[in-house]
Amino acid sequence: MNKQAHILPTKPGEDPDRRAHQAQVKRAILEGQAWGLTYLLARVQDHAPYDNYELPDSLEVFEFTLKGLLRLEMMDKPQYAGWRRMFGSNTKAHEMSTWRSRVALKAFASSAAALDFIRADPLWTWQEQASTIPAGRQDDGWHAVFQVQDVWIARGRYRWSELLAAFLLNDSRALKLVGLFEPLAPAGGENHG
Amino acid sequence: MAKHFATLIWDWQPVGPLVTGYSQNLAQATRRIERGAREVINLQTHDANADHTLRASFLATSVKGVFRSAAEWLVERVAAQKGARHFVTCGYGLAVPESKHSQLGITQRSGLCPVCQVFGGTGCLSGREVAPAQRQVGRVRFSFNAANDATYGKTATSPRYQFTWEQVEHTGKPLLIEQLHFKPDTVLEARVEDADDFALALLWLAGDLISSGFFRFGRFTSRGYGVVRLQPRACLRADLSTLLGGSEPQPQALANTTSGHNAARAFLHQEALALVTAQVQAWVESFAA
Repeated sequence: MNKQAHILPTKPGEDPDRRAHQAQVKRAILEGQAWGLTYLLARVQDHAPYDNYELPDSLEVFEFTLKGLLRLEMMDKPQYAGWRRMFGSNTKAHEMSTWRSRVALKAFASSAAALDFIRADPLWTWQEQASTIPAGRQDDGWHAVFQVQDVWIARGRYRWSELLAAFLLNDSRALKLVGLFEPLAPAGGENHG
Repeated sequence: MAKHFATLIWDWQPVGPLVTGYSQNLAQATRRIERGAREVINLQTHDANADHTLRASFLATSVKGVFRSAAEWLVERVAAQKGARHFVTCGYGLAVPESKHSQLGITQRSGLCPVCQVFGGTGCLSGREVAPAQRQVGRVRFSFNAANDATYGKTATSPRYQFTWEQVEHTGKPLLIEQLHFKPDTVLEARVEDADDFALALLWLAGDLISSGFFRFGRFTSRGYGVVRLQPRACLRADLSTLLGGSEPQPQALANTTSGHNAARAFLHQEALALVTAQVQAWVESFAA
């Protein structure tokens, strides 16, 4: 039986919806701010996820390349492709100074190290009840932490963190979602995006 | 009531090295790199405490901007919780293109937003004609140890970074980055004029947002320059006559305070979020008046 080829795409090709995709991200950021902060924790499930791509040997280089890897993984998946610009865009946005990446990334050698980082977040002290972040393990390999500044997207049907969580849970070959923590839940009832 | 001055002091604790690089164009213009070189070079300033040689540094001016961004986000969040249906800070209001002003409810109004009241501004929501008349200088200044406007570290070269698509296509030269490592005793100070409870609470909470890593210095990819934990160390608040008096007042140590939220509770004996909420709610209600 032939092994199915898994190729990481690098060329977006002709995207007839390019303008629409740009516009929907701009609109979400302008009109759909959720004012919430969410952690997503994902483990590296495959260091050679594609026939034409292997993860770097160095954790530091992996952290540097992680954003690019996810953008490429999303590129040929219609449900995600239009939201890749939530990682930031070099499109000339003029007055939209707030159009920076809606997710910050950090990589760790184990779940224990990643969870230590999340547990040390001072925002947990804003809560009335103490946080219950598990301890994690020292020997379970590389993990990535996603710190999401949340935005309502798809005309307010769901949030950017929820879409990213779904991608990491179901559709990334490199990463697998293993945890979600919310130091500041979304505020306000309005959502437009 | 006498005008008070305050100094807030945080321990500056980077989680890993920081990168404070500037653009390739500037690096080329100052002949720090060759045209076309793929390097990120740190800013350099004169070290006032040493021999005045140029050294790689992290500037306090960039700190103020990130504190302001975090404070704007927090004020907008609190305003949304209090029922605001549009942006209430000048920073977010200015980011909206004029073509969207009516759709997003950005209306001209007089007065300085709560963030401009602390960090300075012109009341941008007032419109360009009114704004200059109500310009307010910022009440807060940031500095590093001993009132220096920068902090200095040792540089190390990063591993060779290569973008993912370049790895796949076997193209492009690896990117070299100068990383900054700081001494462990680096501290950040904020000096506040007219230091009311709201200003201190807003600064401490903005410090927590930065310390969390959700709000990072720099726009260097999705990692920013890196994460810095800001642990409140001490605070001093005094009026001018006390400051000019014979015995110099010492900052009050904030022992066992892992966050600005806890520091406010220990120093102000009030909840920082409640202080910010009270101020923001009054601003939100003024929109409806």
